[in-house]
Amino acid sequence: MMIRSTLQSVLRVSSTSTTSNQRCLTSLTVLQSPSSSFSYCYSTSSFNTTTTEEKKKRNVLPTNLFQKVLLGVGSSLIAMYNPGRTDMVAALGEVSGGCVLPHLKTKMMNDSDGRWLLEHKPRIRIETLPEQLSSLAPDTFGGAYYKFLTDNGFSPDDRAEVRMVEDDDEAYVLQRYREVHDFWHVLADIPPNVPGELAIKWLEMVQTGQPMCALSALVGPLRLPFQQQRQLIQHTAPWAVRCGRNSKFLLNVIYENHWNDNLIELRKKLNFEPYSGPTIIDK
Amino acid sequence: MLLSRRVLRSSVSFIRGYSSTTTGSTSNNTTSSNNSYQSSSTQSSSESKQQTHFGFKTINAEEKETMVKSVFDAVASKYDVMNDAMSLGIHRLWKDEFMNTLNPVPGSHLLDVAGGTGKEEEKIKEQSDISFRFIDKIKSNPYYLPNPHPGQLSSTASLSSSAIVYDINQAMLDEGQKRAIQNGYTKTSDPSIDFIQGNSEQLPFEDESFNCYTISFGIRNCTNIDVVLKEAYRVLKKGGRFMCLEFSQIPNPALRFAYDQYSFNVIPILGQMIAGDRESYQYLVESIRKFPTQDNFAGMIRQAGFKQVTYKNLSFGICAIHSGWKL
Repeated sequence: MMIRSTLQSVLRVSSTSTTSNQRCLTSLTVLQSPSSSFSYCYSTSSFNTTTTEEKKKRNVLPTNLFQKVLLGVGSSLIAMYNPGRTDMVAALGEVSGGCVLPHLKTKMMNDSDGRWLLEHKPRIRIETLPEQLSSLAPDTFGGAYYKFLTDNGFSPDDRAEVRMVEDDDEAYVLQRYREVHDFWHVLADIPPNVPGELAIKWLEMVQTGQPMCALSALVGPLRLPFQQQRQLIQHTAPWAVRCGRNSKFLLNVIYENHWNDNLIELRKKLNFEPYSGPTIIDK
Repeated sequence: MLLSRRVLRSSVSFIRGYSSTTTGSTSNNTTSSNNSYQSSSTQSSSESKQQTHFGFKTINAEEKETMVKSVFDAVASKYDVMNDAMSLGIHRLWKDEFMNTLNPVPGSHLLDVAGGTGKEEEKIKEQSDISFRFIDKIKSNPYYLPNPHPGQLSSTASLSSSAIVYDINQAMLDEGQKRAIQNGYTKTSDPSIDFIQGNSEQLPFEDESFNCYTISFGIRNCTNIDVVLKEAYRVLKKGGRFMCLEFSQIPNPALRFAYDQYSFNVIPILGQMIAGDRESYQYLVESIRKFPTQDNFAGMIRQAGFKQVTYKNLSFGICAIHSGWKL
């Protein structure tokens, strides 16, 4: 503990203007293996890579521990009572993600694509989608994504900004996690209805280990009718666990490079098993 | 309700900076019912952006708007619930005490500035409006005798009373007017009630036209408090009373510490959870701290010309009722 804290204080002095390579090196030397992720809850608050100007640009809302606890408890109750309050689910994710985000950041740092993502921080918004997305064939990844958006009336701008995470990199990890959610729907071929969203939540829980995902995945099904619960237990949850464990860490994928790829080939590349059980219908 | 809506009105430019970074349609809809300038500006910029790109976006915008609107319509009406949640229902007691202090008699003419109403859910029958309390107080006065022939002079009936609700926000006035008509109060009833829109720094009334001037939880958000006070002095008759109910400073340091902890830690989070709007409530608690102390505010009221200026602390100083007379 002492050694780690002194190392971190040395690094804090030198970390204010580092390139991604330097950041990667420091993270490899300081941070331990992913199995000891729980210790991150205590150590990461001192390792701050964000300057105040960057924080102001993101309109960070600082929250102390009391506010985090109150918001965590309140938002989880409200989200459970009224699942339409997506802002409460998002707030719960931001408040409870603190323990897991450093671990996810490490996983991204250990991969070259993940490092590229953290350095360039690309956003998925309507402006950043390619112009020719609408003309791509529906068996390509981009075409399938466009079809998913148009069929369901979604827009990539619907995702709320991450405001309550102080560190820039961790905030980006959480923001990226929110923005690629729709891509996971497309890869898995699961519709965005209530049981479908729960299936994707299970996948997210296995892939990212966020407490908010775990809470939604385990408490959410309690509200479902019995038939859907049975389908979840028998088909979708085992699929999610299998797929989540076997596929590549999905936050490390630069989806923007794969618009033209054939969807089936992309799944093979990522070792992502699409859902093949009975169709998920929300009655 | 009253607190938060006035906060939103006066914090347009403040919130505009935040709303541009939050989600496009949701932020428009949470505050669209309260702030027309802000929603129209952000909506038009995002719609023009959308029309230059994909075709599905215009469909998406309309569909999304109705969907999000329905989710956040429920949230918008929770602004009234926020008042109850923040003050634990005590704001009703404050307003009751305010009206008991004024103690109007039949024949009084009230001007209630910044008195617009928010949307109340139907099951909350409690009328939190100052002017409705004023009317109820007059009617419950033991010497009140309604005029059997309204419009005609009567030697036995009480003098007619009136209340004017004055606010800068037309939507809130419309809401109040609906409630007034439901309760049978119009411009020609006795006591009568009227709803007028305008700026509290430039009252469209003649000099010396009211007995009572009240402003509850509104003066904190006025840009020029001394101008408002001067206008209040102008429209009051000789012998008229100026009353102000406003959040104030707590004298006791220990209680002040507890109140600060509650204000800064709990209220913005409650705002985020119940109303989906944290910034407005953060601004609310900060603006309460910026308002002058009870004595300083009493000094400002004296400077406007009022005499016998006194104040009464409510709830250990969380609120204060300031009273001054035009003599």
